[in-house]
Amino acid sequence: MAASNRLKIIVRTYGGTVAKIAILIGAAVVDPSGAAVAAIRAAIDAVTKGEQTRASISQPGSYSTTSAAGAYEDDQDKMSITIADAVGQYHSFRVPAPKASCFQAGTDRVNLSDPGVVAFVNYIVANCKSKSGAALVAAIGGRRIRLKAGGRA
Amino acid sequence: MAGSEVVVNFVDLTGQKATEKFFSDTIEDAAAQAGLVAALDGVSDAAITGIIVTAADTTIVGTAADGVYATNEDRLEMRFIGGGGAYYFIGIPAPDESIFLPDKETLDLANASVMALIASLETNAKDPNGGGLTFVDGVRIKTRTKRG
Repeated sequence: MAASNRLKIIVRTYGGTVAKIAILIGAAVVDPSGAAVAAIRAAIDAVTKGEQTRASISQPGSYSTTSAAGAYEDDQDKMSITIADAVGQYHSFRVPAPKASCFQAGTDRVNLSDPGVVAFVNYIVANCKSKSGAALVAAIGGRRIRLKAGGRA
Repeated sequence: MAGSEVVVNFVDLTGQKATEKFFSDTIEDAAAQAGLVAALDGVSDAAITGIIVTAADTTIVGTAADGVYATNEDRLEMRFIGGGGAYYFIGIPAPDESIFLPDKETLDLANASVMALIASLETNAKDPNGGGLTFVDGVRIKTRTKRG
């Protein structure tokens, strides 16, 4: 975890243009709805003619797992797993450079019984949501994809 | 708290980078992030080099008002000094004209709103190492996105 987090406040003026204010804050401050951010926003509101439309806090964390050689070690090679949410919509979760064991032998289909895939899906279902906040339910399927040079699948 | 956007950075064996995005309201502390790293490491040959978790609050604070300085190009630029002696700048767009002295560009340090803002930032704002900031001075500036 970094020593500080980044608070970004979006300000919209009467003319409709927007600008952002970026402030580093303590690493313990993680809630953009909390008292510390509310105090900053109130103090800013007293000196600006703009209105603040959004406050967000970004927490950077660094990790150092190790790259490994493998059949799909290229970052443009990806495993795409489709997971259904509680309201029936499908969402794709992509993993770069997937391990060969993630796929059924001789195919580009994801092996949903592979222990690594099972652990990944279980983690995503337990901890992630759709962009609109719906709970995720179960993996529907998955396949290997390859991004084109422009970054699109 | 609203749901958070979780961005994970990967680097493969050849040095190529990739980024994937998830949405969650549980991956906010270090332990939960470690769980995501472990789950991804189990299915990817790429190294995971970083995670950025962003939580947002879309509550609107204040009401936009017209008047002088009411553009984003007009700013109050506040200068702070960190524990290591480096300067840090915080810019406030569309400042209220009442916070400046009659010269229209020097910050009025006796203004109650200015004093409250300085106190709030000295309490809550940090340098990249997590050290506190001390206010130095403030001045009105005009950015160069529009000439005039």
